[in-house]
Amino acid sequence: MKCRKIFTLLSWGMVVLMLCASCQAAKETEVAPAEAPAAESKAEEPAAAAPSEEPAAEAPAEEAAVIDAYRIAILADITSSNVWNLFGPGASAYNYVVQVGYWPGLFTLSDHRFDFVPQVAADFSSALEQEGDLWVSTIPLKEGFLWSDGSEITAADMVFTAQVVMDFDLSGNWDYATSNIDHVEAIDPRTVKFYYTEKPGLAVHEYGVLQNPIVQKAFWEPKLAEAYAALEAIANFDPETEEYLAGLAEAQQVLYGVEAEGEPIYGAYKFDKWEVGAFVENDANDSYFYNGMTIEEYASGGYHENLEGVQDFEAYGDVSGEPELSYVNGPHANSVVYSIYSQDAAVLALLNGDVDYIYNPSGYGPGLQAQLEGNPDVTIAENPRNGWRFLAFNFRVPPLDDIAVRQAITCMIDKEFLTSNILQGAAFPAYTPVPEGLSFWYNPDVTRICYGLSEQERMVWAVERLREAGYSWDVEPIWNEDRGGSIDWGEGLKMPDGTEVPELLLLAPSPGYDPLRATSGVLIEQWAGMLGFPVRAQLTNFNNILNETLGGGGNWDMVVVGWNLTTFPDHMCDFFLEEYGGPFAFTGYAGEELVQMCLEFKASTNLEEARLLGFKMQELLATELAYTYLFANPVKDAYNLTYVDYPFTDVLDGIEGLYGQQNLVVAPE
Amino acid sequence: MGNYILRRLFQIILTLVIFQTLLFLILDAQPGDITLQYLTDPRVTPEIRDQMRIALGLNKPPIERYLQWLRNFTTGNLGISFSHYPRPVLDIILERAPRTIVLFLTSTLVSFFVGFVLGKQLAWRRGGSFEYSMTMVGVVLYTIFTPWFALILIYLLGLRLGWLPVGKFLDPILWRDAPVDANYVFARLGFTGFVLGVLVAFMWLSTAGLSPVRRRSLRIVGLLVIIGTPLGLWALSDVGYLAGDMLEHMILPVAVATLVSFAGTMLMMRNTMLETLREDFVMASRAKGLSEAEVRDKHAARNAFLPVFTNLIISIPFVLSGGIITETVFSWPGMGLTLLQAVQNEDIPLAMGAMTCVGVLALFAHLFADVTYAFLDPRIRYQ
Amino acid sequence: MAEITKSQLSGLTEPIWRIRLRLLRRSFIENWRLFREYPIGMIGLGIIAVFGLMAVAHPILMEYVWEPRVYDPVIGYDISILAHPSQPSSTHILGTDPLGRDVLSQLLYGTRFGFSLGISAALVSVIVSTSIGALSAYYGGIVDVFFMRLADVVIMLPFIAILIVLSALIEFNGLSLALVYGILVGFGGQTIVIKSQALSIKVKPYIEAARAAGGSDGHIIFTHLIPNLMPLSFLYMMFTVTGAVFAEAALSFFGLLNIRMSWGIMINTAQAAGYLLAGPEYLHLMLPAGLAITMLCSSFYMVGRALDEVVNPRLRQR
Repeated sequence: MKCRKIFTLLSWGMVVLMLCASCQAAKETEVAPAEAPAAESKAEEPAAAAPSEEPAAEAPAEEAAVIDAYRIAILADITSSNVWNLFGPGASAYNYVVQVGYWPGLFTLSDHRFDFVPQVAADFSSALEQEGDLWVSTIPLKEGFLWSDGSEITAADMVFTAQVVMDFDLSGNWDYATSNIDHVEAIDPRTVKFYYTEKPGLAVHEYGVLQNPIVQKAFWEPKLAEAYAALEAIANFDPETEEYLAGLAEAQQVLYGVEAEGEPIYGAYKFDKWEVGAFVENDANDSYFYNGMTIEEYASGGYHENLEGVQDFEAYGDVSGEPELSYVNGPHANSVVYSIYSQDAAVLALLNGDVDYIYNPSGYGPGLQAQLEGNPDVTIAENPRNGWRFLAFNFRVPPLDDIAVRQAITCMIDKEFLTSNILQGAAFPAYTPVPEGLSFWYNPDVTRICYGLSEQERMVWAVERLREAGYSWDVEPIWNEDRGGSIDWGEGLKMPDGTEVPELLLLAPSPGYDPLRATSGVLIEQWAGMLGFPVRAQLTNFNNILNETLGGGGNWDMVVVGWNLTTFPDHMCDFFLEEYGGPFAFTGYAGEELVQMCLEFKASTNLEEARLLGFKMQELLATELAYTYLFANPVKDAYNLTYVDYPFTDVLDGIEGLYGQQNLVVAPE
Repeated sequence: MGNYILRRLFQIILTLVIFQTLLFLILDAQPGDITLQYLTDPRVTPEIRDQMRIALGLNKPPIERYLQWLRNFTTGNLGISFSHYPRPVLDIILERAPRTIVLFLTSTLVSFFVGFVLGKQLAWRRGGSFEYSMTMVGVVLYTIFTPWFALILIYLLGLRLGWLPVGKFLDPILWRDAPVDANYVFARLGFTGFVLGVLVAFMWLSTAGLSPVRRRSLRIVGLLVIIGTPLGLWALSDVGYLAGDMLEHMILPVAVATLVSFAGTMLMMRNTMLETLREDFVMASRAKGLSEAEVRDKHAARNAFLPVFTNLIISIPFVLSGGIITETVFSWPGMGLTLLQAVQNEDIPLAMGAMTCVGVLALFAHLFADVTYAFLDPRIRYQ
Repeated sequence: MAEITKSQLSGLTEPIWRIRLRLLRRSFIENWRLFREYPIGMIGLGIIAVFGLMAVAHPILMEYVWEPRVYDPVIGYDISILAHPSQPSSTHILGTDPLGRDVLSQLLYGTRFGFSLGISAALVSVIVSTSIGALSAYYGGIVDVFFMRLADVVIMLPFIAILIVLSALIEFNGLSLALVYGILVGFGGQTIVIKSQALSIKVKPYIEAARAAGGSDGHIIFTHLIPNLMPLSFLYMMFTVTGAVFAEAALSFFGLLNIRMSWGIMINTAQAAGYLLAGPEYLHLMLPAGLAITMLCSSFYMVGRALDEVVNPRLRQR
């Protein structure tokens, strides 16, 4: 009996406790609405307010329809909002989609044709000149280019940014510290001058330093006191010592950890809210310089920016007559909401109209695509991707250093069969290091080994190629007419010196990571096996592949990997020559001819000259086959046009490459 | 007793050190490290990678890092996450834990309750078709391939019928202008849920001794009051609609987590109950002429309750990590998903931190279970 | 004291092994009779038998009926069908997967894989847990403390998470996964259960008798202790099979295993290609593998439950 009394007492105690907790909840929230007035009216609405009705509801009565919220589905959360971190170790696709537009650069690439155009800069930089030992370039800045707090972006901001990067030796996507810059100087508030110790090529200057982000000095300078103090503490150490490096790392950590809340930015949208694990919201920035500006592209190559009384800029050709493309910069939406979904859930949300666009760098499998195509509201735009998957050979392992072997194996790989049948059209065959979508650089006439041949013809060609190079078999592969025709595998393949070809380890990511590469790996094992190469495909963890190849582990003979590329195709050098690519040049290939071409290419400051060189390099690589380019899968963007519309969808790397065209997206007509 | 607890505490510390060592060994033995990821960026030169390794402390020998880790751990510092660099691990865990706790505490309590009631019935109606069919259903659900099951439910209830939201834990459009953040609501929801659970349990136990007729009506009234009060309070508060949104998103994951786990309690309850039924005091109470229902609920079930309850206490810490599959399928950003991502990204401090939290909780839950056992069961005495 | 041989001790002329065999047979028949009373166990056994047939069928079909080029579970491809995945048809009873491979062939191959994985894991765990349980119980002291603390630690490990970590460390194939899983289970909770059972056997009179008769420790452990632990060990093997098959499927589902084909990989392939929620017309990609995992896990668990009733005297009806 006593027991029960205690229970009853306890129960009532709990009820009272709970009441208190609820009261407290009510009390605390009473204060909050003062800061966010919108909440009060919200609270009265039923909890299940249909979200899909909202976008249209708040449309103001202005002449152009404004989208209430452009809703983008993202597949992972952001991890940082500190600019120094963001362009350094914190760089990620999802951090970028939300935040990369915050900061301006001196120059940028235009949205559609990727023309190199001024942003903060008023005009193109002066040609590089020599001043004493240094190479200099002077750049004028625009007037009236504002931060979101209303102050102007000046040369001092530019110099400050470069100085911080150099002081803290920041890396990643910051180029100032690694580009032979001696220093950057503000001649006056609207002129900035770069000093290089060596003459920089296109890749370093125009496609590097000049496109780096700029931050506001007034906001950041007082915030960096602690980080600078940490930096000063190591000033006495020799930069080569471990103490110095550890101290530097500590200073960087302080820098990366600085809270950046309320940072003035420049872009079309500014930060508003981050609900970890759920969504991020950006609000329109009314002081965005390009707001309302018309951009026109002409068939002549001409590029034209125009906003009455603010800006009239043209470049790259004649801008008279009818433009090929014309669009008006936004922000046309009051805010952008980035919600985090898993891929399957994101597709469902798009089908239901809960989101307008999915930012999905991982692409859609055929099943998801079928679902998307079945919905009349949803459109899939397909664009060429600036990237490819390829088969790399380890040049340190005979016989893979022999061009005949690489050509024979490449010949056996039926890229058309692979892409259209096995991969069910999810990818297109690739033959050169420059993807087709990069039309300016792409060489359409490179050699395509065994293009269009049947399986039998491929085998005959490959066997002939190997025999010419001195290879022999115990049992030569032959075409067997039985059962509809197939190849009887070669056995006991011997190198010209008579030793048997060793077992070759082919690494490919496991099917869970990338089914396209896994399947290709297994098929290449079979195809090479038909010729008598004892290839063993090992499907493995992607980190293992990185560790063995780029990481220097060395336990690999062939590998199927893939990269996305930059718009400037100097990767043709970086992938093969250690002096440029570092760990990226992991195959051990060192063609004399390529070295020469790369020297010229890297130093070139003329686009047309660089292009011709690029064509020659492509042909060289397509026959030398340091890599066998397998296929490129197109970028597929899925969007729901019920609430939003895009000025254009045909662009290299798709809407994805433009992070959802946030500054251009408009309300549908 | 005090002596016993002291000895157990010492053992806990020892166990914890072994646990940490094992974890560290396993995690550290992975090939490569997190800086491998930066290799995919052509701008990251080997020098920069070395610099990053220094920044993350990866240049030091493992033994030094291990000792450093232990030192930090004793001062409550779980280090800096690699993948969320430079955020402290503890920060991330504190941010994610409430979400998991709310989700899985709910499902654990519900499945315990369901399992307890069903298990009791199974033992009581031993050998009947009810037992066999229920056991079949229970076993199939208990061993069902969880992701597959969750996807089927998502497909049916979320997609085909459109009754429930798919994935995530809130509706961004609704929360855009919310006056508070999600963890604010989560913390309060979790607290409410905990109090509710305790209250219901107390109410149940305190009415167990009454006659079945009175008991039933009392229980119904009690349930209504206990569940109704907080519901009303939440509805009245300014964030009620937000809590409602969250609860709506919770239904599917909680349902899945409950359905796949209730059979564990059910089958265990059945067995302990069967064992108790053979005890003499049950015979005695029958001989006293008590009604069958009274024998079942008052004598047999109450005594069978203890081991099942202990099992519940022991399983609670795994709430934090056990949800890897459920959280992944429902993109629920809790501890399970965090742990999975940390492990996949080779974010050693975060993985260590998350698993250590589970470990510490598990050890103390063991201790708590043992001590409660000693208090409640007079047959057990510790020296 | 002179060595006393066993037959002298028991005073029997029949060789000891024959007696043991007869006793074993008798206890087996007795236990089988008990087992048959639980329909759950019989249903489980029935399902296992079906799976057994499926596992045996695959190599036979591949050898005599199916053309390897088309029906190979990993590299097969049917050129005669234009678009994959294709619906069930007379040539492909369960249709083909997104990469043009026969689903039925994969399912049968997966059965073989699942069986061997589950049973090897169970064998490993049972060897580990029985020997450690017996040793801990018999010797006690430091051995006991060490293994019991270790078991406490292992119980604390979230299995799936640990396996995910280990999958980065070890190139898991079926065998190594079975080994690791078996060891994890064997050193963990199973040891504790078996040890407590061993403790209760250790105090039985016949052990005392054996010791008084001068039987060595090894002799007592191997001829008296362990054989009496076998029923319980066997029971736990069933649960280990369930756990191992489940773990493999879960890891494959997350894309963390580097094996070429299994039930988990089948679901993963369907998911990676985006057919998970694509609707009823793609059921043949999801349903067979998911059902197979669930059924195999359930059937072993059911047998385990029924065995529990047999082994655990306190649960017996009579």
